[in-house]
Amino acid sequence: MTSPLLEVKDLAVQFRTMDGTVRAVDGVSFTVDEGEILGVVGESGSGKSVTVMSMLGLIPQPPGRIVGGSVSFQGTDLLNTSKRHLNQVRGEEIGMIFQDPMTALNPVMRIGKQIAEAILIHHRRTSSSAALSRAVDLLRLVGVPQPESRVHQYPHQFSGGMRQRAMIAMAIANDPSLLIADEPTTALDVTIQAQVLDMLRRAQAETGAATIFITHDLGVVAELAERVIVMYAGRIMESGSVRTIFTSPRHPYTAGLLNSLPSLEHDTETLTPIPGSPPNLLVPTPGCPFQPRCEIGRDREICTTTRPPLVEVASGHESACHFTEEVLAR
Amino acid sequence: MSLLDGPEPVLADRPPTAALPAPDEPSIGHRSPLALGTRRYLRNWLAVIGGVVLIAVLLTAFVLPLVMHLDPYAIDLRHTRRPPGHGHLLGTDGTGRDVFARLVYGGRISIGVGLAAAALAIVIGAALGSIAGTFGGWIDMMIMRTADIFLSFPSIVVVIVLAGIFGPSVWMLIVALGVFVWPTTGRVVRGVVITVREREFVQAARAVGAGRGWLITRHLLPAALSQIVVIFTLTVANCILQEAALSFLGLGVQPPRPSWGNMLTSAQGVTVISSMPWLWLPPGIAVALIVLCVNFVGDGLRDAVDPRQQSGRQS
Amino acid sequence: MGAFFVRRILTMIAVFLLITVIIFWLVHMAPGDPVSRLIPIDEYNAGTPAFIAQKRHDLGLDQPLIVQYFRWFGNAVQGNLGYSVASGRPVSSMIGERISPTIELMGLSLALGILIALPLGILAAVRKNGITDYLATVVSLVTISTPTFFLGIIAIYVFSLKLHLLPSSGMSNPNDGSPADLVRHLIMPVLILGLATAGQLTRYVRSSMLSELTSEYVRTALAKGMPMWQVLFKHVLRNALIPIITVIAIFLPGLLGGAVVVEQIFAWPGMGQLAVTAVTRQDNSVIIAFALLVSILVLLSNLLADVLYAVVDPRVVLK
Repeated sequence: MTSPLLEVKDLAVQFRTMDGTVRAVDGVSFTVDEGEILGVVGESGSGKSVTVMSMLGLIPQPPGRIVGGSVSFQGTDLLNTSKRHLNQVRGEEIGMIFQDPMTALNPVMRIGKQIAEAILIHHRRTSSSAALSRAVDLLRLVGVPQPESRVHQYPHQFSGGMRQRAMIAMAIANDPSLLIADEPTTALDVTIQAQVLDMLRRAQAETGAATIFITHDLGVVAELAERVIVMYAGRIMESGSVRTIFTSPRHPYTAGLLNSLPSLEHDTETLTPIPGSPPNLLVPTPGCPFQPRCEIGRDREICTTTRPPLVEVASGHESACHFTEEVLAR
Repeated sequence: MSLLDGPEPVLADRPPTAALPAPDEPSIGHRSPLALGTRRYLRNWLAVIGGVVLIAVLLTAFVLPLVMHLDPYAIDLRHTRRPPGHGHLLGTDGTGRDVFARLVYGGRISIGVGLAAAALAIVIGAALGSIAGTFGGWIDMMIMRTADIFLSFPSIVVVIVLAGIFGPSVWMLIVALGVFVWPTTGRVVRGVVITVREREFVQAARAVGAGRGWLITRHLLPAALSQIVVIFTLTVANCILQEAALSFLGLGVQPPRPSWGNMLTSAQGVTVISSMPWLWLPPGIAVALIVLCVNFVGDGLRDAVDPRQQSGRQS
Repeated sequence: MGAFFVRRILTMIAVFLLITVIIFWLVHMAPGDPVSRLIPIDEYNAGTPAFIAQKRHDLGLDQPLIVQYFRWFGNAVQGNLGYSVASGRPVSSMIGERISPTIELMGLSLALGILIALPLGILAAVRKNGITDYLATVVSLVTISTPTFFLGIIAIYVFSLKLHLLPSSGMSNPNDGSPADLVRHLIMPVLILGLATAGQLTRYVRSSMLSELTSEYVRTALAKGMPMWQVLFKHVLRNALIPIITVIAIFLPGLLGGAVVVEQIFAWPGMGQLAVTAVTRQDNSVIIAFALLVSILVLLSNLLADVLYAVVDPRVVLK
């Protein structure tokens, strides 16, 4: 078995705020193999974005702080490497796609120039005209119509879906081995979402890059990802293959998420949301963060006192719960 | 500062997502906006110091004469241009008047003019700004274009023209200053009106049947008030500065009425500058000090009212 | 694009005409005999009542106001701005000889102001809440709060009277007039006005930079592997300068206001000093001409700001 492309171990990130310290990421570990598509699911505040941002050192260091862990990419710990190496990796080996392309792109710079920039940063000997023509090719690849003229346009002249395609083009410009997409379709219309997802899938297939796909939408994960990790309160609750997780979840949170989905097959009169509200990350609990809302753990003392470790419950399937068997039973 | 507002980011309507329940806001603690604002203000030590000094100056200007005997008009031709001492805390001026007394009374006038002009500007600005914001369309455009033009006319020039034609006077000064400084307030109030108008809760309130008056008093005014207070403070600073310059040029408060500005007029001669610093240092420092303090307070208020201001801690 | 400018220029002309009407009306309200403003003063003083009445007729002062307005306007456009009540000289030549010192003062001060404000504002924003930021904020607050003329007086005190380094007034020494002499006279006025300008501009530069620094595209650029300093120059600065350029254009009339004060302190022979003296002497013809010039400056700078904004910011959609 070849070593994984990316190995995150015990990553912990904190934010200092006016009201205290927020533990945004509280001991997260996972791996990504070459060419694999990993989905990261969680609600707002679960720490999914912060995790990937801190991997690349994109968290503003005050007020944020990486307080522990390692991010091993192609053998080097990105958290402990030189600025130079980090800049080399960014954009070349790891490509990022951000959530809102309107703000993520420089509004007063032409799209072509921004894409070409991604190339020129890492290939200084390329001429700007060569980089620009490559930008045209990339735009064509991601399905932007009339790329030769579009390449000279500004972001506000593109539609939302096209802007996101341009971001994808920018991310794959240097053939990275890892693509990170942070909620790339959240800011788009549902109809455009499908197109962009499709484009992402094709981009991934073309480049053979591993992909980390962050979303709060379970449907998207089911469609796109091979493996998925479920995050809550800055920790991983469950991880495994999409099929296993969706058919037999072993964590109450995952089960709750799946249960709250309205079904297309049966008639449902009422929706079953997960009761309660997300945790206050200022006040860390010694036990399981999901406990207050958990059917199983609500009255169990161990759930309030001891943090459940992430353990393997089946081959390639991990869960952080004291009572994974019970979840299976229900 | 609307020139520095960028375009609003365009977000498509967020689609309903398949998965997750809508979370309630985790409660951090119950603090009223006033308490939060005060706390933020007090953490800005420049603003606090500024506030303290400002109060001290105001007390000196307005309360001291009630306690101490000060006559800024008493001429004494036997003791002209004397340095500090002999019963004159800051010496005497060209006609033997007590400089300290003139400083204190001049403060009343300079600050008073500043306050009056700023108040006038606020009234005009609030009125025109709310009209512009409420009605929108070409009324809005007309008012804002006019505002732009008013804003770019330097008040010094306006007062020069008016003073030249009609002769200088304090009231003309106040009106001229107020009339040319209103655009800043106008713009702010208009901004608030537009924001409030488009907020969903206004539409919600309307849907429930709230009338215009209720909307204005319960929603508009509180939102606008904090902004107006900030603008008022900064406008006062500006007006005091302008009055000083104009009185210095002889276009504002006329002697023998003292004003910090006209106390400096005599300092246009080289002799006065070099050998009689007590004549020009006190009023100059006084203006600088009070404008500085008002600016600190204004900035502090601005940050306290809206900590998301991206200009940072002090600007 | 062209239609936009045509419309703006037309609006500008319309506003200018409106202003001239206001000025004319103000003048009409002014005390004093209008004839004295329109013919050389010695002629006026020497003239008999019949002569003056004849002049009044010739000048059309017995005509309805509208006609008078057009006549006055027509004259002004041709360069005839009447005669100074105080000196008897034609106003146009008085202005002519005074305009270039003022432009010189304003231009150099603006340049100095920008040269100080840009690096200071950028550094302050980049090292927010650091020493540079603190210093920049304090310096700019102090220069904004201190009246310009007071700064001028202090400068004269220090540099002219105590250190005997620089001349305290005028544009040049009549006995000298060499370039070095001219420069020595320039230093203090430009320094003071430039500092005042820098004080105001620094806040804008800092504010604009800060606003851009928190933009998402900064993160995108970093994610592409660009080192921070490059991001600053290639993305942040370019974006931050857009509103600054407009601010500078709008600032020009304010600069004139500052110049008026500085000219007074340093006896700089420019338009400002002329205007202030005219007030003391109630020399209305000069004041009117001054008002017209300032109006033109204001309108032109507004137009310039609009043009620059449209040219520099591709997001601006011109209707």
